[in-house]
Amino acid sequence: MSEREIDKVHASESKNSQVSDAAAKPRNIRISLELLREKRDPINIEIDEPIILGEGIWGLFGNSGTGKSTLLKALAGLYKNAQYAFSIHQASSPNNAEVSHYNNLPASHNPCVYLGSDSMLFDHLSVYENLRLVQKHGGFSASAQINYQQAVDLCGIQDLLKQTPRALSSGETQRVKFARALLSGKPCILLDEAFSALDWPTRQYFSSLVVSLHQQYGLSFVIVSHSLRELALSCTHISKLVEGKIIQSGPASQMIETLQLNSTVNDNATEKFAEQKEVYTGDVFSLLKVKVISNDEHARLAECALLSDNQSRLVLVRANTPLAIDQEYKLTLDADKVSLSTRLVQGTSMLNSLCGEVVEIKHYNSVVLVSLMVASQKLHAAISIRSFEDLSIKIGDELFALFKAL
Amino acid sequence: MLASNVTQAFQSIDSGNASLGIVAESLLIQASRQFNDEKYKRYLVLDFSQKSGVVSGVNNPQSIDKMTEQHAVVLISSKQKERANAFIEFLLSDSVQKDLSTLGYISKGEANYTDLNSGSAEQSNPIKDSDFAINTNSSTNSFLSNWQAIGLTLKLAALTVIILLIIGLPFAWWLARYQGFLKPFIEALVALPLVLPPTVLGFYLLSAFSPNTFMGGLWISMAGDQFVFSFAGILVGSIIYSLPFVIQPLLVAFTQLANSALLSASTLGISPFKRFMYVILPMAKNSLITAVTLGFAHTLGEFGLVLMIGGNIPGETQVVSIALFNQVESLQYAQAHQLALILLVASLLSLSLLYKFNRQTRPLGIGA
Repeated sequence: MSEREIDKVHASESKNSQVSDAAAKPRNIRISLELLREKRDPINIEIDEPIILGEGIWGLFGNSGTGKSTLLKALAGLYKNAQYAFSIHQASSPNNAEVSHYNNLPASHNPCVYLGSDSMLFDHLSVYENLRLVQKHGGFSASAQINYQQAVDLCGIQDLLKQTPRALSSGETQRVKFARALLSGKPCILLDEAFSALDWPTRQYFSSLVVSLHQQYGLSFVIVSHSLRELALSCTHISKLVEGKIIQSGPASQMIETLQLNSTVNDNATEKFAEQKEVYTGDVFSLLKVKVISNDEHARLAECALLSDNQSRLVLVRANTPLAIDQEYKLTLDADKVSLSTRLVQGTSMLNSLCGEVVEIKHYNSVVLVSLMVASQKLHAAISIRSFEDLSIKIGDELFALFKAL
Repeated sequence: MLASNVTQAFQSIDSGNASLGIVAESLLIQASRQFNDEKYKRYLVLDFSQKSGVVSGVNNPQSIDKMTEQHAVVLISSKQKERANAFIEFLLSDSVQKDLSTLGYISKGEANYTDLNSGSAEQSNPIKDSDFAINTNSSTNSFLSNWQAIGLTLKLAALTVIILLIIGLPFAWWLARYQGFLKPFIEALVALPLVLPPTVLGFYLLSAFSPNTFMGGLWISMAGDQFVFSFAGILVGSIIYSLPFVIQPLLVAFTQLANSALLSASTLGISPFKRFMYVILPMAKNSLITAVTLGFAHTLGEFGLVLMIGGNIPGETQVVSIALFNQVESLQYAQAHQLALILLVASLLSLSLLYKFNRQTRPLGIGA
């Protein structure tokens, strides 16, 4: 929303249903933000979703200018005139959950810390002093569960501590900002494209860091990103915002399927071209949830099992350092990098070979996207039209998906 | 206090700012004639011939033995002697002399017309050494009073800046974030002393705070002393006069900083007061130094305002610029040079330091 002039933000909240038990089902939260742009052109942000911040990790997806940042800033109490209410579900363990309610709290008393391009490091202080300032003077810092050294180590900013913010690259700045937000001690962290300047491996690292912080310390996260892939790695729930309205919302794995396969057909105007095949943009990926079983330190590989499966389907993952056993990971796999075979292939460098049933076939102008159901997880393979015809693939076929170690 | 001339002395008494004063009788006669006011007739005539008391009865000029004689001369070097002589003829004409006598002057009836070239000047207009004695004496005095004036000026400038910071910091902070429709008006009000002649401000303060006005009375009841011709008076004047020089740099800094730094600090849970102390003020440090330097230097150079409401009292309201003015008036150029040089060097030095300091930027990529 930063590119738009926001004159006034008004938000109102409908009455939440009464909750007697803190560990009860998530309640509906209704936040309605009315943005007045250029005084005459209001945008409404309406959210009517069964989400309590902290229940999971909430991802907000959408094009720029749809109100994602505005929503986050309103939640963080950064709009003086906004009215809002929300609850934070802070669970240190599944049986011990607390729900706190907040109404119109100004930013410094608000449990949410906003982290985005509009927030900055204090230029007059070094990185070290930036972190210390928040620890010393932040109203929530006393309750921070992550100490200074942990934050520095987790974000990998040990070498940056003596630098001034102006000397940092944008990626380094984002890492320092994240460390500073952790030290603020606020229980809910709102990430507005907070890792956008990092390279993809580092983004993956921070996405998994977000998940483990959520699991270990009960920190809540709301993540705004235009990269569905980034959201896929950390979020449990994803909503799509268009023109200030949530048009689709659901569990992350389901939303990823919906959003990436229908991304080009999103309004009535394209309906008449439905016969025409879509251009494949090459950005379809599969989300695999795995659990570490064992490590092969010699080959620098980790053996992981696909989750929610009785049979053990092994996936090999590259790992420079051994991964913790039983640790769960989310991985993305480009549809381009998956080959299909009608039988088990021997003598190939592709270490992963998963057998699954074809559940969906989607024709693009140059490729065919074949979706397999492997151990109740969907796996996409983008193959050429010739391969598709040669293998004469039909729904219900049993095929092997081949791909390299992830 | 020492007025610059007899008219200023009269004005000070007339406005009620001075309770007693010495003026020319002719001014009072003229005033009572012009305004038809009885108050101009209540005065005493000083009689220097009486050793016991200096005061004689009212309106009895004839009792004065020794009178001040007014002379007119034509300079030898004059290139327009004809016109000068004609003017003296005019002054000595019967009608003018008659007019002068109604204003309290005593006409000699006949011109004592002496030509200095003829060498008879000594007789009628003897010049004694004692006439210069006062001058020599006053120049050593003024050497001391120079330092007194400098001390006073520094005290005035320091107090002005301190008070302006106390008022200015919260005010500039408020104004930087205030977005109401009165903002342009308030900004104009703050900037007004930049464009307004200081005498305008001095005149209004003089009118508003005379002891016989409501404001002046209020001030006396609160401060115990009158506003005009006091140190407190020129302090208030300086504060108003130097206001824009302190407020403007702060306002600019606060306006630029306000959004992103504040957003970060507040969302990280830092309270408003701590935000101001640990984030805003350190970030605005350079502007703060600019504000202090400009406010200080500008108060040093203040003249018109202090002249109007200060009243030229040594040690109380006689600041350097006024002292300098007096010295030039009384032809003490050596002293004047000394003061002017001090003022020039002090101003140049403080501004140079300011520019040196504010040019400093941390080189990119080099540590804290």
